[in-house]
Amino acid sequence: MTREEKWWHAIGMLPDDMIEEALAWVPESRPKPNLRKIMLITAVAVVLLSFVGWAAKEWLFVPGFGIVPTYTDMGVNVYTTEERTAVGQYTLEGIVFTENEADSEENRLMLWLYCQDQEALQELPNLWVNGERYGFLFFRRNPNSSLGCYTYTRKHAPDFVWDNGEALPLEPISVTAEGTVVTIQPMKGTPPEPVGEPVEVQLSPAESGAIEQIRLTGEKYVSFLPLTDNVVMGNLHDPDALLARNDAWDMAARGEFTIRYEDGTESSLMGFLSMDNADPQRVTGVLSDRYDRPVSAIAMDSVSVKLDYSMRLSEDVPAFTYAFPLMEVGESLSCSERMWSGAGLELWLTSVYRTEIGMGYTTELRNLTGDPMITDGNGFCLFYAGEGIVRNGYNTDEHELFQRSCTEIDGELHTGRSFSPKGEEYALTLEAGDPVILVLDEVTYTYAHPDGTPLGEIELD
Amino acid sequence: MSVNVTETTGKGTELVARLWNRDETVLADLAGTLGKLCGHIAMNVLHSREDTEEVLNDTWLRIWESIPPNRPGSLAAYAGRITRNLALNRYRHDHAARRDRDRSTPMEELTGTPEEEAFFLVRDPVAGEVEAAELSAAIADFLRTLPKEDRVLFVRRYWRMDGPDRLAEEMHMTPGHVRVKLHRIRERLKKYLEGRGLL
Repeated sequence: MTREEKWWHAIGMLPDDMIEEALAWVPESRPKPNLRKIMLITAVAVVLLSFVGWAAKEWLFVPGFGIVPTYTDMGVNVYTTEERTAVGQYTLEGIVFTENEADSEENRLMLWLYCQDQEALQELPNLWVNGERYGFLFFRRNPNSSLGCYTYTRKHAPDFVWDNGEALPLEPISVTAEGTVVTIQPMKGTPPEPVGEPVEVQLSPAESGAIEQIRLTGEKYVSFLPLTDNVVMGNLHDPDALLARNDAWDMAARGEFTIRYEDGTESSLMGFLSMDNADPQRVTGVLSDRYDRPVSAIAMDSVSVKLDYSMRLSEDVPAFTYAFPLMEVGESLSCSERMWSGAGLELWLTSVYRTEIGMGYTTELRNLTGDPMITDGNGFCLFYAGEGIVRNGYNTDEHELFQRSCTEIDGELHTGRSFSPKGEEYALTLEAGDPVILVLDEVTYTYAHPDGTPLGEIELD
Repeated sequence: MSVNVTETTGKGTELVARLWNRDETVLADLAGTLGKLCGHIAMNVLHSREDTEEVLNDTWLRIWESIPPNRPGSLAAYAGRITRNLALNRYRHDHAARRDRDRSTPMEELTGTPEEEAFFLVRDPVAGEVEAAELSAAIADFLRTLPKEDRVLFVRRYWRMDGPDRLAEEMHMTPGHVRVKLHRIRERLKKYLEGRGLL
């Protein structure tokens, strides 16, 4: 973290009451109104409004004028079909109905669309069915998600999924995205009836690896809807570790959980568990299916968590390359590039610099609000090894951390990558599909391949 | 810009509850309630309407993704913090590559020039680092020793990123008076942090 970034985040983390005070404060006396200015503004406004009214009357309803809805009130980016093209194979993942008793016309329908190609999904702003436009991409689960959501009110829902208040049978549907025909396949099967009150619940992330299971005991109640056979990348947060990082957080765990029942059947659910700061043994939570439908409420008296585990952040690390100009020894360049994200965390490239023995870069691990992960004695370090070892990162206890992590490097639990000059440009690259494991323990985070081998060297010479 | 924080706080509590209930209609209300504050912050950093719009959209998405599990006490402060971070990312992304030094952030008033910053970074990337949280706590302690008006001035300048002209208008001062007061606060803060061994 650079000095400016540290100050930035320090100011950003000022107490809420201080922020509220500053936002609410008004001076005791107010200046006299400038009547001249008010009259001038009023006159200009009258002229402008008159013109707008005339223009609307003359132009608004002329055929071909082309009023394109933007839906900016929904707070999401929306693009017209003229601006974006999406070619890909899409699968209709599911349809979610939310009821609103007060106004049946406003009952909402959420249509989840899965696309193998994340980029294609990002480029699919509007859903076209048989030549008609059926809504815009409401949001994706997260920026790297392959799931996109379209949302409709009842009266505006596409006929192919909604007819007079009843969901139609899901048949394969041809969908055009700006003239390109893609096929939407229906969700497989039908959701079975909810099942309640299992005797025991074991929660574990989808990726087993070195992750220890979390066993929850005590009184509990679970009901759920099983999912389709598609798998969403799972992740898990360590409750104690998170609580240690920030007392203000009440999050204990979030991610995909596998629930195993006495008869051996399993079900995967997305969800989160919260730990009561005042009573750390008290854990409550809600599990929901992949469409964010809350399907259960859990109350547990105790939770047993093994603290030392490895966590798979993401199996499909998107390609990342950052190119920057040739530097002199001692020169540095600040930057802000997200290298990858997962598990509610993001890794950002924050600077690159050159020393006498090679190039270095600094990174920063940030949480969901964009704040750096700050811990007492914990921290994040990314290392790279050349002829010597240059360490980056930040930590109040960095010396101890450095020694520890060096030992890990010497012990071949290497935790970084190096890169060297090439011509007039450097490039830092992460290959698509690089498996990365975030190793969490009481002291530090480190990155390495699942088998502990180095992330790899980038040979540019 | 003035923000009725009392209304915002009450509305914020309701919005947080709706976020916890996964009510997707809350997104429109987030923009309505917090759009002015967050847009103001982003605009002060980015000076671009298009970039501000994108940062705002990302802010609503971040809020949707992070509540739950988070349950912020002040949604305005929480959203503002997210917007600040997103705007900073966008600013650094846009300006690092071409090394644009024409514009600076208010934070440089506290940290020094980019060149000084670069020297600091190259000299030793980790030495002297003090955790941002520790620094934040120290700044908060210092601000509580100030008169309310000075504390508000500091937070509006460095948290909400208001410029001196706007601050002068809102706080019924001249721009010169604002600059002088900020300068004196910074000097006092510097001595305070030096006294605590943080600088």
